[in-house]
Amino acid sequence: MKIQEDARYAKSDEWVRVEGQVAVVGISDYAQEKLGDIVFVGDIAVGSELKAGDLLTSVESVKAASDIYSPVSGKVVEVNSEVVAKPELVNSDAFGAGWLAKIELSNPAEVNSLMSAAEYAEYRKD
Amino acid sequence: MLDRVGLKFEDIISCVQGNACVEGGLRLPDGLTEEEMVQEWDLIMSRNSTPKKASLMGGGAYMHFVPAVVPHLAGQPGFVTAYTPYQPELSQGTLQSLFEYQSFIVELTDMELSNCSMYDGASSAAEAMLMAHRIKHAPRILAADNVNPAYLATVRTYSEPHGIAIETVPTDESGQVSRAELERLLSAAPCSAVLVQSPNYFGIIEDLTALGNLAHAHDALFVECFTEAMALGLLKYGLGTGADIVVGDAQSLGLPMSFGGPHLGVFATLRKFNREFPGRIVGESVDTEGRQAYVMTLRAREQDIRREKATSNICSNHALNAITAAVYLASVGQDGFRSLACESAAKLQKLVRGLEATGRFSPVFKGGAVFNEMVLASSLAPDELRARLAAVPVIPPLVLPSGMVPGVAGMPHSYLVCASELLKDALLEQVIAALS
Amino acid sequence: MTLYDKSVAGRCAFSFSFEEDEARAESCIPDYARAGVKSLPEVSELDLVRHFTNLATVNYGVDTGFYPLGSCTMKYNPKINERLAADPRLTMRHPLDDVSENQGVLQMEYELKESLEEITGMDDFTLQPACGAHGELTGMLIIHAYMRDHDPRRTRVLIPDSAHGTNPASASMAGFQVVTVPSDERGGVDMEALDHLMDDTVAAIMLTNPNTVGLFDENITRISELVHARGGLLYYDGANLNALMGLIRPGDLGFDVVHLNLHKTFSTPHGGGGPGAAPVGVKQFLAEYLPVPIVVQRDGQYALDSDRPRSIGRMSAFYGNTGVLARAFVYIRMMGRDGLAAASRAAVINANYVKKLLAPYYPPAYDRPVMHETVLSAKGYDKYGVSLLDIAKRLMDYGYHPPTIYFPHFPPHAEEVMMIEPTESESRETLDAFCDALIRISKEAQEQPDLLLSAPHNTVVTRVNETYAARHLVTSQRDKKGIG
Repeated sequence: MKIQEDARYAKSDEWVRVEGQVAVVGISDYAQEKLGDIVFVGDIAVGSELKAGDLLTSVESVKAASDIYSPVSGKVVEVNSEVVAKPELVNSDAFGAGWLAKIELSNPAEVNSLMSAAEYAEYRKD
Repeated sequence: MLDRVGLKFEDIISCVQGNACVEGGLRLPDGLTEEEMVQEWDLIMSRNSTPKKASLMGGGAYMHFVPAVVPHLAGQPGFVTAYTPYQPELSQGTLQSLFEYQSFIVELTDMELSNCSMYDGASSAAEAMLMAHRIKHAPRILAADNVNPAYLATVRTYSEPHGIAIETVPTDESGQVSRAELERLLSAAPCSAVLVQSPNYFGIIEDLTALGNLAHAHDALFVECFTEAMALGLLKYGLGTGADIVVGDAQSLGLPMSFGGPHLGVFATLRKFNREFPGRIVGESVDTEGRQAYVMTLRAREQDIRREKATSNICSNHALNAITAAVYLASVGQDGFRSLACESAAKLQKLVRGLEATGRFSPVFKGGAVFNEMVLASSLAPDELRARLAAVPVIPPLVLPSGMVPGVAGMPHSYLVCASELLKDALLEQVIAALS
Repeated sequence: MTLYDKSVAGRCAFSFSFEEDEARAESCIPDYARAGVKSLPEVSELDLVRHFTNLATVNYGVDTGFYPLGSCTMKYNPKINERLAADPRLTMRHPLDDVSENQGVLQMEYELKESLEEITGMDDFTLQPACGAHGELTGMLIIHAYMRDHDPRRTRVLIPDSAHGTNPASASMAGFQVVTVPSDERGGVDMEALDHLMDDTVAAIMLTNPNTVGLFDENITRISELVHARGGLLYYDGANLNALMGLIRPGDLGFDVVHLNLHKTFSTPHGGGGPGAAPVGVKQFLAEYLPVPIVVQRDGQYALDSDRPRSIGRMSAFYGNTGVLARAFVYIRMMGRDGLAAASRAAVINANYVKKLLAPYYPPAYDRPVMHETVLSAKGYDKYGVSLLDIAKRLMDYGYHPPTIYFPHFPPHAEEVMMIEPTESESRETLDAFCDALIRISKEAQEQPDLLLSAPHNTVVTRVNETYAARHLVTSQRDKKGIG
């Protein structure tokens, strides 16, 4: 299981990496491994306003479907169209090319309540 | 057997004891031998009337010619006694046949995606309404009031617990759904879907393109429905008329009427809704040796994975009937299917002309184009009509309840009259003679 | 090769004497006519016969061999059922024809209804639902309508975590919110959790008994009393009734609504995914909610009654899958009172026999006698790099259909398990040979794991790439043309 050091993590296995006022959101390497081959990433509407914990999208593997929740509050400003066309990017590079959306933070302090890399590694150690 | 493994039946079922067990056995008759069963069956079935050669009755179930290869091939034990194809290595027969069925339905409905069947046309229509509601969220659906009444009733049953209101759009004097009324109702409040049947319950072909445009102008999905799959050989549906979903019943494709079931529900839609549609679907893939192989796909929508969030609870569908339809379509071929559709349409025209000539029948809706069904008013009461046809080997036409269609002076009764390729000229003449 | 690959322009398998002028028919509907039917394959009759005969041959059915698919009850489908159900006096009936023409078929349906009432201990039945999930939806809609009239606060339905996925999906489709009840370590409903969850917002609990892991819940009478005492109803999923015929009846246990799978318990063939039939039975106080129409008997004549103002309405265009109902009718008549009880007894004996023979190699997930199916674990084989899937695939090489595996929502203490349901149809010799195969596979797993990992070898295709199918969606010839 890979862990991205500069990201923070939600209990439902999403990660965020803050770049200025914007948070990049994806699912963790642990989550992609659990799901298996990802075959579909659902639509995310650019411009939608989300609260932390709101449904962001869903991803599907052959044998499972998983809802993905936004770990932070804010407005969706960009969606990774490449991952919609090539869902396998989530498997091959969950923290990089497999990112899902960028969210303009409305409450940057929320990020601090998410787990650090070390805390997440502990949380998901099997 | 239990001795060998050191068990006693009484111990096994001790968990059941203490609950209310059956005492003295079930109150059912003793079993029959196969030979006795044949006798008993014959006794019961002899209480039905003799099968007829053709049917003047349609309204959702249709009698057509079925080539001998159809029941023969679809009745092969490999198809009949298999389970749902969860293990593709042992189920290529079912899977490939369903892929071919899907291919044929995509062509005939002119859509992008067909599932591998629903139960019947009515439940397909109902599932289409739930799907439209999932996509558009508006708790309101407009359905033409000339959709088959049993389909409308099923749509209501499915929609009721979700708080989806089903409002009907009236039929105008031509027998088509009123476009002015549809537009008025669409403008009144948001709506998830517009459901239209063509040919409609009265046999009239709807102007699907015009209706679809109206639905889309008001951000509703346009759902086209058919009860007589033979119409797919002659009429336009799907992409060509702006459909988002095409549903219907394909009993006509090689399946017997069988007192109403099992029939075959068709469900076809657009590729963009491939995460939203109900039911199973087969996809083409490869095996580890790179050979072409088939497998159920898009499974993550389904109940066994998504449970209460599934797009539908449908599990078993009518796979064997889908295979039957595929065999039927391949058997009659593209030219044969077209010719059969034309033959049915032409037979209706001939029948109606003959009936009009008796002076006892007259079309209720003038001018509307029809396929193989039509509403005729008549001076003959149902009992008399049935009595006159008693000696002719046809099922009499469907009696419509009074008030369902506009009246015609001097002809207080109305019938939904149906024809097919089985109404050969000699038989047709017998019908006309009996009613003259 | 698909039929499209075998298509040659101008070939035709159809022989029919047309009497009408095609062009004239087309001219009657000029505005709406399509340009013609294109893209159906054109094949000769012999090509067609060989195509589908070969496809049927590569398909595995109960007629091919042992099919121990847990929870699916793949028992033998007697051929007399097929022959009688193909009687034209049945198949050529128009559903809307006058009932006087259809007295025989209505009598058959009425008598089937009566038999099912006796077998289950219920008061009334609808024969309309087309398969198990449709039956569940019908039953839950009945409960929904009843609660709307009597106690509209009750909007939630309790479902055990071991339940089949259709249960929550059906409850949700019927407008209920689903609440999961955990299983206890014995595989039954956790009584403490039930006690905690069963409040005045709960409309019903949906149960299968024996449950999905083949265990009879001994607490069933206590569950029934608890749920009823707090104003809820009990729904019985009849998927596993094959264990209980003539022994115990869901109606006597307190169930208010049941559905039966005629394509499981009552020997009608599954058809590679239907059509089935799933009659729904109810206690008298719910009878007025059954879907219309209902077959009734009045003065020796059979009729269809639609005059039921509180009915949930229609579930389909007509009256259900008559062709399937006919097969179940024949089965029940031929089995009779003692035959049905003997079938259930044999099904239970067979499951326990297989469990005992295989226990040293595949330990039972629950160490107590099972009813009609047994759940065995393959967890120990991961140390050889072999998964349950590999074991299942290897079984195909021995000529068997694998049991149910990876039932997605097994309780957590039952991972990597297979669910074996032998049914009463199978002989001791068949069961011995099947167990031998699984025991040999157990050895192979330790000595030649590659044999399992690459299995199956003897099937028409090897493992099919599901990921490829999902990522490169091709579900019709039109898709193929688009891609090609």
